Amino acid sequence: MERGTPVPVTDREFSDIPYGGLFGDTVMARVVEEIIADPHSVYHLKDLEDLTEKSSPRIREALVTLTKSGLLASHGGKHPSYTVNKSRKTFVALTLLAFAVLDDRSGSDCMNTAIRHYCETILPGCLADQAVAAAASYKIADRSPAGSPVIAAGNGNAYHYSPGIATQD
Amino acid sequence: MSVSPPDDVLLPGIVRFLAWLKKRGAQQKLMYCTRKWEQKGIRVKEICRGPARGKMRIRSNPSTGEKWVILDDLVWADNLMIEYGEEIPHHSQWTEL
Repeated sequence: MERGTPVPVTDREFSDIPYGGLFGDTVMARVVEEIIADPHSVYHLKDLEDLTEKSSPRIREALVTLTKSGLLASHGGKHPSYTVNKSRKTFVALTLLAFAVLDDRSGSDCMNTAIRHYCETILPGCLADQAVAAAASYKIADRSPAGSPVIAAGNGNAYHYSPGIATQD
Repeated sequence: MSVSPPDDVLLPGIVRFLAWLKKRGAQQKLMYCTRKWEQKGIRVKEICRGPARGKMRIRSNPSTGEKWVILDDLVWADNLMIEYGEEIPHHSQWTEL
């Protein structure tokens, strides 16, 4: 199928169109899906040519683009090898997208499972922060005993500020 | 759901294969799986018959006759992937099979 060709989304069983056809059946989508699905391998042009059954100029083009974007790191000169840069946020996002496409097709909950695990292991502070933010509701009281407006948060804290006078230079 | 390690030596490779399959839609042509994974020592048919029995199967596409590997038990795969850090691999992990 040529670059950018729309993909019918009706026959999803026995389909290996990358990301459920979201980006068409392009060489770039195939390479991205492969490197995201197996980010541990060291890739060479020839490997990807064999795996994707696509022409080497197109794959080389995709590898150059992905290297420029930082998702891949290139090693070596004339016949470089490529490794996936797992510290990139695009890597995390594309991994979650792979789960999301599967969930939408099969009704599973893989993306949420991965997000929960990611928060627990990679972003350990985020769950606690979000729990406070979600529980906190804010109410602006008319006046505190001291005469200044009060903002009362759901977490029990009260925030005061003094009414100021705007000045013009 | 319990996770029973079938083989301590092979398991990391099997989990990596499961992660790959799941991120590719939990279904893939057997020929493609074999081409990529047998060279890494992962024998897909044996996994279907052994540690993944009842959770992953090989099925023929009725319209083409082509054999596909289908991962049915996504929760089982999820549990293994979490245990082995394969859901969203962290940048500090780096090992080639």
